Amino acid sequence: MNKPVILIMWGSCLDTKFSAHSMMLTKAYSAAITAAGGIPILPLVESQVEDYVAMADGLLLPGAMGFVPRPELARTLALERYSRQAHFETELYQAFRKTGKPILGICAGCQKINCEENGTLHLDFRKMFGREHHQGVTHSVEALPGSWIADLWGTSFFINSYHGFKIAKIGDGLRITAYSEEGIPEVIEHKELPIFGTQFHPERMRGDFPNPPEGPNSEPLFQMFLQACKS
Amino acid sequence: MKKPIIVMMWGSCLDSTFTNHAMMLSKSYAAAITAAGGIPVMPLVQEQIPELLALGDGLLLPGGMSFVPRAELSQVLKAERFSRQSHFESELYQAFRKAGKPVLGICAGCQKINCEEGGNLVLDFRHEKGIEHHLGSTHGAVCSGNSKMRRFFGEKTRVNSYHGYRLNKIGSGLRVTMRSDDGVPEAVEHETLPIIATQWHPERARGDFPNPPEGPSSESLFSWFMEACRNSNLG
Amino acid sequence: MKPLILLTGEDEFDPKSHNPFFLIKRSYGNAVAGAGGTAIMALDPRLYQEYADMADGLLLTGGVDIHPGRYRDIFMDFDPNSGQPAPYVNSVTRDSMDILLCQAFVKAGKPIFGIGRGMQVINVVFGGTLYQDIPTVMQIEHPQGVNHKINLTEGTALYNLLGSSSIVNSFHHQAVKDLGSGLKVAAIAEDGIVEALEHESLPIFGVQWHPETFGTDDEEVRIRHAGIIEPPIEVDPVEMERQAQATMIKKAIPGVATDADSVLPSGNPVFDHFMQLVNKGGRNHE
Repeated sequence: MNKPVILIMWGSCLDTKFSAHSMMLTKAYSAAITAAGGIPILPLVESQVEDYVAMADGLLLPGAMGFVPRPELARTLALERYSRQAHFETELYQAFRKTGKPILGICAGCQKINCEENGTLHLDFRKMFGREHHQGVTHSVEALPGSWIADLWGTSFFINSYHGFKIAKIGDGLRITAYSEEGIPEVIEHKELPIFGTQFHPERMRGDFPNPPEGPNSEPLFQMFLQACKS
Repeated sequence: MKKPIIVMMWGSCLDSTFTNHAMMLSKSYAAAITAAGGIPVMPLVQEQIPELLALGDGLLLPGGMSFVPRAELSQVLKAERFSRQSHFESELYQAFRKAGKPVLGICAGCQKINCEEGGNLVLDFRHEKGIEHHLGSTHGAVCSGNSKMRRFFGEKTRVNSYHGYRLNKIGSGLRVTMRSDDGVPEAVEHETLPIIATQWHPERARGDFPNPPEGPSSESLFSWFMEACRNSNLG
Repeated sequence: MKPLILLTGEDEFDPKSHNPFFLIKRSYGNAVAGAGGTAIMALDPRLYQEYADMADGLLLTGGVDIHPGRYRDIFMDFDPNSGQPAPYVNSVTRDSMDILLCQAFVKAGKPIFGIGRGMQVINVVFGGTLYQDIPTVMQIEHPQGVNHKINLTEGTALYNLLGSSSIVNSFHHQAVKDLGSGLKVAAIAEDGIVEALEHESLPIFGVQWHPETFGTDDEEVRIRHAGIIEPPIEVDPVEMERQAQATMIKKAIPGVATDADSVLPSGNPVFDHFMQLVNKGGRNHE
């Protein structure tokens, strides 16, 4: 029985010893993949995107991650990181999309998918709705019956929330299948391809300290993703 | 089937806002109990130990834990830890023991049980064999025949290691049932009472980031403990 | 298809976000790619067997110190109340990842290349030991953050590669003490510190210095970053972060130049040597 190999995109950062440009991945993402029966790996080199696509069965685009060992280096990191990271992620996404292999986007990863399909974002929506969705709050969500997320968790459930941007115009071929109370998109799926995105963090909705504790367990979500990757 | 309630001993610390005396418990202990099907609770008031004994189905004595918001305050805790904490833990242990309820001791908790039963410790044994058992390593261990440890983990196994003290004279009624490859006691079991204790940290040998990652999982140990606690309030 | 090389990464914890995470310097992956391997990083120590089955070679990268219990020693004496920083930093979880992977690749007979701490992991896995801090324990002042000369041992693969001597960088405070079984010293610094080792028969070698920085601007960047003390006051860090994140999520425009490494470093002899071992399918290299 071969476990599916799942590529997980990284975040830009600096290492502690050399302050050199580095890549990072929050362990919660790889732990979720392992727990669901997959083998998580981190791709490292832009020019090898074709090799990565050939060896992997699925792609996970995680949320934004960063680490700066000394705060005075934050600016140098910000200037350098985001263009390179954006290009790598675009190439990876487009290459996977072409093969029809499954893609799961989480938080910023979900927003990335939307933008790759020519959608747009609101960059600071809290003033629009006067509601804080950033830096860890729990709220409820309503999902469309028949959508992949409703099949897993029903049409009404609680999720965590760590985002300051939101989807504005939905990308081509995508549809929104769950909204928060004030109408903020929380889940997307592609109409034909096996591409899914969540604005919340399912990798935190499992394990020893699930967030939210009253929320649904995300293990079925990752199992569904891995099942899609196996076929 | 009702979930057993497990009383979890705490560690002394200071809170960040007021630097007042406080109690703490590392989440991994509670998480291990929840994952095994129990309800972990933390006792708070020494005078209420009899009520906790009635409420609880079992007792867990964890390893050493502490926290100070500023390093210079660690001296403040020393006096507090070794008198109030020590007395609280002794009283809890003796109460549960007398009632014949299951007790699981981990690391310093294991050493506490040993001392409560009249045993003693070597306080800095690293210079004996010259192998570091402290601050996070893993090593091989051997389980004695006809013991719970053997049943849980087989004859040869691998465990994590975070201790600078070791058991020396073994308390009465206790038997060493697991030893590290260099002969250091790693687990004891009571001959008649449902009391077991490990020098290593089974609550870290499970979950998303098990230590050691190559296993074994400590599930079997916590399952046994849950089962014993479920049976403790019957009859 | 190119051979698949598995790299290990650092183990970090960010108190700000309460998150444990993995981290790897960009130059490691680039050096492997420049030498002709597909570079990926391992992400779960429990899957050491799966990783060993899937990859063709292992690169153990640099990082923090190995717990002395792993080589049957005790932490060196140090008074935590002295106000001095501890002369060692170790990571429990990283030790497991590195050692499990190293053992699995040894068992599979596949090539292993260790850099810095990675070389020390190889030594420990084969039963060797380490000096826990060169200045304190060995009473030597070994070069730190500057280049120094090393002498290579005749008859070793690295000697054939680099000649009888070479200049290398130095970023380590621990050193090989007793050599593990089956290993031989391939290079020594002038002060006697082991700088490289090779296995007598298996396709396994390690270097104490950091060859992944050669042919890159790593050293320039390191020195420049070391000189940055204060952020410029006119920049609002919150706004800067927000704009940066927006850039990251935007669909990247093909053809627009990035400040990424457009050319991979090539002709890095030590990495070429490793890929040769991998391409040979792990047969004896000397």
